[in-house]
Amino acid sequence: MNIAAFHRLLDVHGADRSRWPADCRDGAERLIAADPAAAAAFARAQALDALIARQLRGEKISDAAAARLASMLDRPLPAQHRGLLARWWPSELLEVDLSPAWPRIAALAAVCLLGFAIGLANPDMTVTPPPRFMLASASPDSDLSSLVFERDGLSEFRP
Amino acid sequence: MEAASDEELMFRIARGDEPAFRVLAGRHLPRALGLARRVMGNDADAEEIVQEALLRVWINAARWRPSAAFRTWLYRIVVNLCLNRKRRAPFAALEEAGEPADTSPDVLATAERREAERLIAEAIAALPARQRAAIVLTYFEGHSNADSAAILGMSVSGIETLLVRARRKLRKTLGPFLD
Repeated sequence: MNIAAFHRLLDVHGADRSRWPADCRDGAERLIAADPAAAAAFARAQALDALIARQLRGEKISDAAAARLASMLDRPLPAQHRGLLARWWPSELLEVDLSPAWPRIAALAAVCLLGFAIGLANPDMTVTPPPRFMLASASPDSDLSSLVFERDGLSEFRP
Repeated sequence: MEAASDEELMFRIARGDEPAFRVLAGRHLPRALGLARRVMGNDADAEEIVQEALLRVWINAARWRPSAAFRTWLYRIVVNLCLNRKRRAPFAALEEAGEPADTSPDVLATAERREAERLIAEAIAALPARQRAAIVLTYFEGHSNADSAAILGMSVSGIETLLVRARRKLRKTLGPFLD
């Protein structure tokens, strides 16, 4: 393992050896022992891990918050969703909170509905004739290029 | 019932068993609250989020399938609710509240320690929401990268990218504390 790979290992997995992939562990240990720069990087990563862990684990949960939540459990619970639709709905979708997106979903649905209504209300629309290159492509001896390029009168001339 | 597994309790809850729900909720409430508290940075939001997550579990229990551990599923709901709320509201710093004056003899050392803790808390709070969630799952919950990826609903490489960015940012911000 080189020093760049070791830095990457520390960034991805931190300084906790037990979190390192097994196939990297020996190489990393050898590098720490042999290279002072790697040893210094390892020491800094350990210090960072310790700071983060101490900060996160030191935060105390308010007893009042826990008590309020516990009392919520003692109150009557709302009705459960039952029936076929409830069972069909995939459980993974429960994790999705659509509430912030509802206005946008409603706007999209409204625009789609408006387009559909306009389409129904105007059934006799004038059809625009296809452009020239489309007419050329419709000829029996046309090839793929004629779908894209307009025919040139001289080069396409055939006796 | 106390000895029943989470999955057994969920099957009972799906049939409307309220005592089973209370046992399951009580079992996971403290950790879920701790997770939400650390991602959100305040008790009020954390409390509302955990309450909403637990009510979702109760209301939609019939839809649950034991394809993953219940705890992973619950944490995923909690983290998603946290991230959704983060999109709507700016973060409230953890250490906004003032502290009473320190009357201990070693006032200077205590003040320095508190200042360091405040800076560390601010550095973690300043991370983008998903990076902070990844850091909390790794350092507070001790989840593997694979478990964190399952909770955040992303690939392992995705969670590794979040962790790399978060660690680099924290190392840069907290440089003076690392030497």
